[in-house]
Amino acid sequence: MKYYISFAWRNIWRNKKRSILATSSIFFAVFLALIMRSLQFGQYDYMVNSTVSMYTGYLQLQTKGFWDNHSFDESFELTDTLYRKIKNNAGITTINPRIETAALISHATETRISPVIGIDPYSEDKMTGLKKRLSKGNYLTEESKGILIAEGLADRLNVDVGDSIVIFGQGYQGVIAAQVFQIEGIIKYPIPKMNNAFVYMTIKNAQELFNLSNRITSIPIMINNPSKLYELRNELSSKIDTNLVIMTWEEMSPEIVQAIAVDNASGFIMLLILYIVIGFGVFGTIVMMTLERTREFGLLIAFGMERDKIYLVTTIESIMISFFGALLGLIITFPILLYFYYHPIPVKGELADIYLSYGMEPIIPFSIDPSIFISQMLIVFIIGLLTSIYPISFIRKIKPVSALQGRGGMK
Amino acid sequence: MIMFSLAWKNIWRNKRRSIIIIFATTIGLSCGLFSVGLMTGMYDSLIDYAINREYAHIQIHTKDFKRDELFNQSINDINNIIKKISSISNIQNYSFHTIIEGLASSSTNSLGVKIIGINPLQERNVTGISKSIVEGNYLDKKNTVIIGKKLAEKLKLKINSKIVLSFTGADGNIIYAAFRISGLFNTEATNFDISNVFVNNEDISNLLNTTSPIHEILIKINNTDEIDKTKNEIQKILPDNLLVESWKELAPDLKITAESTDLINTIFLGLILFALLFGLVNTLLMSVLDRIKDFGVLLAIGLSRSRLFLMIILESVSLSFIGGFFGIIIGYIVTQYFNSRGINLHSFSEGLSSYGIPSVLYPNIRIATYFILTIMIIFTSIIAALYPALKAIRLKPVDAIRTIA
Repeated sequence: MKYYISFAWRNIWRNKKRSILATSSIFFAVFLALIMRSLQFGQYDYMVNSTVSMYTGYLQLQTKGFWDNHSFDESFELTDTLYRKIKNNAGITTINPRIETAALISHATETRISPVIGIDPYSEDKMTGLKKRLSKGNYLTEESKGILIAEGLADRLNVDVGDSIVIFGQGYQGVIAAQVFQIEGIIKYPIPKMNNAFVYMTIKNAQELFNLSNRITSIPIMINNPSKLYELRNELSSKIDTNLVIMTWEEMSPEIVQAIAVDNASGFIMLLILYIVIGFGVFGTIVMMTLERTREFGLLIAFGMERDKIYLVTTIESIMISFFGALLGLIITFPILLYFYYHPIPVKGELADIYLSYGMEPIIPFSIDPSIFISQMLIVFIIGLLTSIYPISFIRKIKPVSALQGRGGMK
Repeated sequence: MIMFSLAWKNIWRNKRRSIIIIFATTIGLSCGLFSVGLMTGMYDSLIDYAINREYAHIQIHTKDFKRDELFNQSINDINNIIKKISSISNIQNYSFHTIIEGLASSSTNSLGVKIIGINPLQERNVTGISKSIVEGNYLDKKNTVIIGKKLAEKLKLKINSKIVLSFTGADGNIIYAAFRISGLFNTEATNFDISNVFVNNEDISNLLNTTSPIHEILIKINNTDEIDKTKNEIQKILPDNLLVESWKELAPDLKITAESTDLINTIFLGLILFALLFGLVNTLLMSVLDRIKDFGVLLAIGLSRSRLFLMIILESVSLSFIGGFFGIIIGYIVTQYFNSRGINLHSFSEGLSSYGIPSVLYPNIRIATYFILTIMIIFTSIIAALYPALKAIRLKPVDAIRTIA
């Protein structure tokens, strides 16, 4: 085997410029593909992470039917056993029990409808970073009797920190819920839709207000490794009661899944076109390399070299030419990607505002997911194999006498 | 001319080699053009649909309304404003909107919505809402409402069901009013469908016991190229408390999309050509190296080096042109074919409609793209030929003739 490899190696360097050109075309393709995929994948992870940590979480524990109806009939008790069952799973970073409902919020003559969320101040902040969004007043503590209100909603009700508002809604089992609350803090959201709605209070207060005793409606769960999403879901599902269900972010936000699929497909098509063009270039090189060695192949066969072995040498040549480019691409691109992975590119100007309006930090993140690298290597390997078909079929048909006489080897 | 025919003949000396590179060019460019067509079609329709659905070309609000969307910040003296702006010839049609934030309730559920009061006849000429009715009719009778199909599903309502709209009036009273759903609309944008309901302005006036306030004037113009000019003209004759904006300011993300589509497409085509460059250089280099002896003879019998240089450039240009020609033709035919049929992406519709992209795409290539591409091809082929051509003209005739090919 060593012989064949060194054979192939020498054959490649017979015409340096040609081999270097073919190799650099592969390098260019791999370089471009790696950067593009890294950008795309980085964007997806980032998009998913910002969306799920804003509200739903990667996973969410609910009673069956709550997602569609959002009524207190599907509330459940968070017992210590249930909490421990969730907690005892590696990979879970935050468990954030909530009470989610909507109610009328009034102050003087103004009334608005808004989501009212009962939270555990500590875990809510850990998951969504709510405390950082506080623009005025104080964040909630376990003992707080007051509420936090979104800025836009506060403006519309014409209220400020220290003012009182009335929350009017429907509690568990149809009980009417109405109570006066003092505003402790104002929350500022970058997304107008969220900024115009949202009232937060502690779970304890919400349970009292809506007559829930110790029931809650949902538990968003954050995990540290999104690629283990389904593994964790299955594990949790097997442990909880049958009336409860674990939803994934993919079920809760199908539009994100599809948006990613569309974008991913368009990126894939672009790379496919690029690789086809590059592949032809490499193919051309291999064809030239084969044709100009007609006489040599004839000689080898006439000497008694088995054709299988010539196939082997030419195949190694094809793969080498492609693979060097890929390897070079990998070696040069990886540090670049690694740098940008730790130092994402900041976005400026108008585009930055758009990022903010979607509630995302204005940065362009990169990904260094191994699958990006593996898939490029695989594609290049396939190009190498495909281009090796030509020399094999040529050598299979070659007639040594005709080849040695310089008549092209076929007649 | 003779240089050209020489170049042409040289290309076909090694048919296999030339055909491979021509084929690569054809495939690369036709696929590239088709993707460009897809992108252009997608983003153009994204913008056209958004303009037609909700933005129109130009909108007028009071400055305060822009910030808070509060009920009492209405535009006063509408008739006077219309009289003033009617002198601007580029304005085609306009419509008035009353915008009220409220709650849409069915017996099972309540959702926050924007209640938009329109004059049904006027609206028909400005936005496409009347054309996106998929079930039932446009606002036809008194106290009817049209709502998004997706909102109807959320509220578990059907056509002709009763829906209660509640909102705060000017004096702070909460007004409850029952409407009958006369029609369901379905646009390409999910968000729009679940958050807007349309009612007749007169019905709102009746509920408020006064003429309904106008918060928004939508303007459709004839010549969209002059949109900024028209916008400034309107702003100039209106009082200071009113803000005139074009769709570019109302939807900055669409503006960026519109401005970057062509650039991204050009970059993409450029990348394909760059990839082709490697193959082209390789082919030309091989063909030059094969012919060192010929070049020696040509130079020896007195062919000037500049003409030799030109010949190799011409070879490169013709090679790329054959590939480019077929690539453009095939790209054009495929794009036109799908442009007339449309590409159905229903399986992705949820993701697309969260961006406001319709689920049937009509790929489209701008005429300018063909020109830019042709120039890029010529440019690429000249760059590809430089090194091989330089190599050829640096030959010394005597050495070259003695070279064993």
